[in-house]
Amino acid sequence: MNNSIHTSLDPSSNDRDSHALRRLLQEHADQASELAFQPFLADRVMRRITMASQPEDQLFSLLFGLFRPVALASLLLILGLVGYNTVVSRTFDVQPTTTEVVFGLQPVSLTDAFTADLEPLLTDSP
Amino acid sequence: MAALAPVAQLRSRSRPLRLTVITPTDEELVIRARKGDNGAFRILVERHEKNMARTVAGMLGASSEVDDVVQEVFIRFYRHLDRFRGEAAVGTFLKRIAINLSLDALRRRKRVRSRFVSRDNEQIHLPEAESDRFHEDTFDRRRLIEQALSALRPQHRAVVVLRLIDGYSTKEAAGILDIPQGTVLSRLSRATAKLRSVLAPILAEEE
Repeated sequence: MNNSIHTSLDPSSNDRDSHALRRLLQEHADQASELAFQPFLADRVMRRITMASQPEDQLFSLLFGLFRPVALASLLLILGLVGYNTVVSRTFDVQPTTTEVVFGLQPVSLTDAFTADLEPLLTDSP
Repeated sequence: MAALAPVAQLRSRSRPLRLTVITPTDEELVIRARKGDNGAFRILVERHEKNMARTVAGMLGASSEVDDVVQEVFIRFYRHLDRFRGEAAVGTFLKRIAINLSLDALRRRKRVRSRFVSRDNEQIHLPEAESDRFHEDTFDRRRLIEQALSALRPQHRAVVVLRLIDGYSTKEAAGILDIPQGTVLSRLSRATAKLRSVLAPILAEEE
């Protein structure tokens, strides 16, 4: 079986059918590349390379390369902090908003805002 | 007089000046391109563009994607110049990129087609070729070959392109596709059997 494959597909084989098929496919590929391939490819490639090496792109790739190694760790840290803030927010007396929960902000009621908390000042004074 | 003798000898021995143009090898051009010599890279592009276009056209047919894929082959090569260690020839390295990008393009094409067909719930024939520049007979013939190649699985088509169109040996094709030689032979055997059955009328004409 393997021998028959070798003999029928080997380039040095005298199999006329195989040669005819090879020639047919080669002619087809040549025609297809002539039809589809646009001239001045080198110009277009070099232009794209030059555009890709613009200073803005270099800065972007520099920053991207710099922060990529810590991106996953930072994301996990942020998720951990958000989770912690959510758990802590359950202990508040007043129901906090979503923003306050995410950023771990203390909810301020109107009474709290207008009531001056002078107790620490009074206790610290001589 | 004695001092002039060597000059006279030189004159008598002088031959017509022959200018020999030293063409840099691909490896030399790669080294220069790595150092930022874009002119050297341009020579590489010009040297290999036709060969890559033929391979990609063999994989994708006469579609507008060919030009984009060939461009992408060289852009990818430029980005990975540092990874090229010279173990394989530049042409072989580029050929590997061309085949991989062509396989990606075929996958994309298949996805797009399946989306259209599933949405419209009917068979839509998207033409492989876009031009009808050729004579009708030639066009029909080309279309038949295109259909025969399209009927092959992409991996089988890659083997056909490398072995039958580009003329690589089984060992070289296996190296480019990163598969065992036995797999190349079995894929080629199946693919050629299928091609022969579809292209039988044209092959009979050829003989």
